[in-house]
Amino acid sequence: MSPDADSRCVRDGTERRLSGRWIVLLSLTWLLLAIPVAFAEEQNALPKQPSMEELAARPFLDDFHGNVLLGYRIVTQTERYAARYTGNRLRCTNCHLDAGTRADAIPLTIAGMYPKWRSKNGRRNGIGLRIRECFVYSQNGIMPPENAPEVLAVAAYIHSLSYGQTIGRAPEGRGVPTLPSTGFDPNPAKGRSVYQEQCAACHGENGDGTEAAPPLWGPYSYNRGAGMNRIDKAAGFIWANMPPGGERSLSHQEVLDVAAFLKIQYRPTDPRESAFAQLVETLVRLFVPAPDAVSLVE
Amino acid sequence: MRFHWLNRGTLLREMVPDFRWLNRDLVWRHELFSGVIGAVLVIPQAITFAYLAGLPPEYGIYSAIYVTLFACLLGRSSIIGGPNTAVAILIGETVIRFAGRGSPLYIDAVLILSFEVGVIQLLIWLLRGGRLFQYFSPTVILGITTAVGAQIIFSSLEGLTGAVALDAPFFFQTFQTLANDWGHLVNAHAFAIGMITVICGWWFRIRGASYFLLAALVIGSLASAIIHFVTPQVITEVDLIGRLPFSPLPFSRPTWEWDTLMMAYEMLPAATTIAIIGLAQTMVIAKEINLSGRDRVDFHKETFAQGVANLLSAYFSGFAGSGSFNRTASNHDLKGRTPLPGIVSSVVVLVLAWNLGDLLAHIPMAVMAGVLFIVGLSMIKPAKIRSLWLIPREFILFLATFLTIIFLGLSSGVIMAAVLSLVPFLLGAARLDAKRVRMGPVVSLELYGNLFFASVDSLSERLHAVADRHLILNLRHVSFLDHGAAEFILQEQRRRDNASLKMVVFTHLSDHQSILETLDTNNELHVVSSLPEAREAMVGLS
Repeated sequence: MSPDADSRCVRDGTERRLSGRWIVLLSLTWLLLAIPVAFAEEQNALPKQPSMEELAARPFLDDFHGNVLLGYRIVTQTERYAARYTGNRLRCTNCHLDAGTRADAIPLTIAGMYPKWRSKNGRRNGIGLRIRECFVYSQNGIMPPENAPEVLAVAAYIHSLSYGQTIGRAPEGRGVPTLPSTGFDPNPAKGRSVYQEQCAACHGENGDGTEAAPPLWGPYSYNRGAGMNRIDKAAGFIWANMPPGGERSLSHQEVLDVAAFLKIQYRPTDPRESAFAQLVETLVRLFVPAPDAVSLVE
Repeated sequence: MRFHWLNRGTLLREMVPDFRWLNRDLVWRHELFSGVIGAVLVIPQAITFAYLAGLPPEYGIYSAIYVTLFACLLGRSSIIGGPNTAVAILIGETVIRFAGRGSPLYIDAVLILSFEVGVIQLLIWLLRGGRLFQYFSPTVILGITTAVGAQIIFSSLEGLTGAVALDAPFFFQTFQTLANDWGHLVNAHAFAIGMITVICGWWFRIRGASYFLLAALVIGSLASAIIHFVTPQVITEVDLIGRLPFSPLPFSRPTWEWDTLMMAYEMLPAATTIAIIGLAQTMVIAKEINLSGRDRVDFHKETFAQGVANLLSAYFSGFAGSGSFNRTASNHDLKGRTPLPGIVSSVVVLVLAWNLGDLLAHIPMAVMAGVLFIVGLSMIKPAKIRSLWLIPREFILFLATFLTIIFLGLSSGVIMAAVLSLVPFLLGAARLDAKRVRMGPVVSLELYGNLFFASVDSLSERLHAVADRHLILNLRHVSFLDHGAAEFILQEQRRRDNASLKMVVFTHLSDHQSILETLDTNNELHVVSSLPEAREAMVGLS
């Protein structure tokens, strides 16, 4: 019914009665049309997945859902449920925020994207290898076996999170946002002051974490092989998700500076580097005099 | 039927922990030392047996602590209980049908299975079934241990080669897969570490060192440490055990729900087999101790202790176990004479696992598989098998047991073994000899052997031969008469009565007489209790 018709109803008495009939007729038509449409929508919609609370409350879980719940617990309480392979104080949910459900915070809804080739190891990666590498780099731990129950449980959890996604298409908010070029190099010195202002309250003056936030560097944080150790990844993550409550409030240049500041801090070495090679390198540095700059130029 | 064995005093005495061994003149030094060595020996076994059962390593450690502790506290002998190869294999074989290795449902199923095993063993204790296990013949036990050794070797191949998902229903498929795709499947680093472990361990074993497993473990781990110093683990991809999420009091509880009850119901036959094979091993050790005269083992008390320990293992994140041959032997070598070494060993394991977690974390699975390989290899005893070769009947028994286990699995194999153990005896028992004595028109048939359903056929043959004679059926040398055979005798009496031939049954055993009397409601049988009486009955016949 157009607004014109409405105004006519108010002005004219006979038309008003008629419009009352019209309203009844129209609403009946609407009902007759809407009910089947609603039913059709309900039928087309995917059946609901049980939430983690529902799963935890169930007395008996089959093998798959038992694994999903274990996977959720590993993601949220890594130090307790996957202590076998972790080496630091981080939990999966520290980066995959909200247990891997938040967009732009490396969501775990990516089961449909694997297997795929990754430049990181130059191999075609299944979801299993991807999870195992997280344990090695971000968790600074041990590479778990392919068939470790922990890996399979996290894989089951990722699959259950990816429910409803189109296979092979990147889900919305996958990974972290890519920041546009600011035209300036990241400056760790400026990053330091931004860190002191914005981050130190939760992550600690020395980046060793507090009750509220995980350690960002030091022996109990991720190692040099982790994705977070890359300035672009860390900057995108910080811009989109930090500080909590003030997301996207920092400028692109500020988060790049903070990421560069984090990059130069002490953290465990890249586990791909051979300890033997490092020893040889140290010994060479100790006992073989370095050629001085002048002789190099000549 | 009288349950004369259900004597409350006896049961109570077996249930209550008995610490009288403290009063014996025990040498504390020997007992404590033996306990510490036992703890060091059990750790590699616990981890590898947990692997056999498809569980994370800490479950093996918990078993090594709590199953050993409860079994030793309640028992009275120097038998060391705890995780055991055959039991672990059986657990893995049973539970893999319900869930994937190490998944939450799998662990729940293992707890339920252990609980069931405990309950069944307590039932066996209540029914005085401890003696049942003397019916496993030594030949068949050799067949079982050899086959278990072979199975352990097969299951160690996956870890030894570093290949993943080698597990196949049949062992030859494992070999086939390995042979077909050797280059892709085998992790060269893991294989090297595994081979170093096996070769060093075996060398120590040949030299007669009782700590050969420990030596293998240490050398293998050192080799791995050197390899990983040069090439990082991320690149070699050698699987490590990982840090044990260890807790000193790991309480757990099997879930009792409708679905798990169905699972429990389906696992009952397997639980029975596990209960029997576990007790059988404990009893074999007990028999050896009793024969050596060091100690007097009370079968029933040990059965009770084993049952309670397995039942409680479900509440301490463990899995069922049994008496251990090798650890008991080591205990005896070190002059352990009481349950004290077992108790000490479980306490030491607890302390070690609590403190050495980070050290254990870097032991590769390949080293564990190497240890497993040595365990399997040392369970196969060629000298004993060769000695059986000379007795064809025994060798066939051995081979039948061995092949059944290899091809049909341990649980079917054990049932087969129990049947096979009795076959030679049963074949002999069904044989009936008869001596025929002619006394004029009367024939006296003197029977030798057992009269039961299986020997009726043989009896009817003998009776047929004297079908047209008056008969004295002499049961003096028959030690066993069952219902089936008694009925047959009654029919024979009727047949002879119809043919107006006389028949007298002579037996002096009241058991036989009462069976015959119960059956003979119409008073047709002519039973006498002495030979002169029988002769008297036959007077005047022509």
